[in-house]
Amino acid sequence: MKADNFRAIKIFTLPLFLLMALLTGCATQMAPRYDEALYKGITQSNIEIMTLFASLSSGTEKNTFVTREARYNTLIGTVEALAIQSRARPMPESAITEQVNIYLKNRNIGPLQHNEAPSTNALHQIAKQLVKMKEVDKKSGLKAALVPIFKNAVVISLDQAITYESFLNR
Amino acid sequence: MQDISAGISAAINQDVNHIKQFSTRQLKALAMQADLISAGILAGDINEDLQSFFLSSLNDMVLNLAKTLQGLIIVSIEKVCNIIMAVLTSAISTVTGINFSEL
Repeated sequence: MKADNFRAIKIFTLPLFLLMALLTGCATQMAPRYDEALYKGITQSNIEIMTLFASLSSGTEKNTFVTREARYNTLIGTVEALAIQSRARPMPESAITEQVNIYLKNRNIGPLQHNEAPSTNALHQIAKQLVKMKEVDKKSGLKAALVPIFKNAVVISLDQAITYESFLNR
Repeated sequence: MQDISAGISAAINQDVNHIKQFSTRQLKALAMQADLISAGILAGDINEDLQSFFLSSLNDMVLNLAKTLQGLIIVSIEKVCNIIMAVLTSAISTVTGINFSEL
């Protein structure tokens, strides 16, 4: 009798689980939603920042800093605003992510998901580079050798932000 | 079952390709950044303050690369879950005649 009950439970558990999953919402969301305005904002900033780097490629003199200050401020403000926009999206909590994290924790591995989208960190990093670049430019002018270092740092973070945000368009 | 496998293969192959290309680009750019910083220090173009800033930034960028890769993998796992659910939903709908999208 007990074996029969057990078999019956086994037969009905999977369909019941599937039905419940269907009724409670078929689509699982484990990552933030795609934000088209944010993506467009990042790609537009990419163009503007690369244009700035192109104009600085041979270095700068500190006495001409005032001609660039407003441009730095606009770009820093835009990138910081995009970081806020990225962070403002709710990060979904999913039962699947939770299960994966329990599995990872039991094996002493860090959790899969953090509270922030990686694009938020990447955008902060871009703003940080631009702020430092502005500071050096104002203080002593930018040596030509420093420009590619700042540029490559920004390119790395832009690539992280753009790749992640475009991946969210699923 | 074949529908699930085919759907997963199509989604995963494309994602794996994108993730592979992204990590290759990033690793090349990070190696280049390390080279640029070393050359700048040796040439005397980078003072102590900038040296500390660039090295700390490099560290942050590497950490964020790991977080980005993790984020991309999560999106792929989500796609797989949803492909499986979509195929199962459609199979149950066909058998039972229940239209789940209308529930």
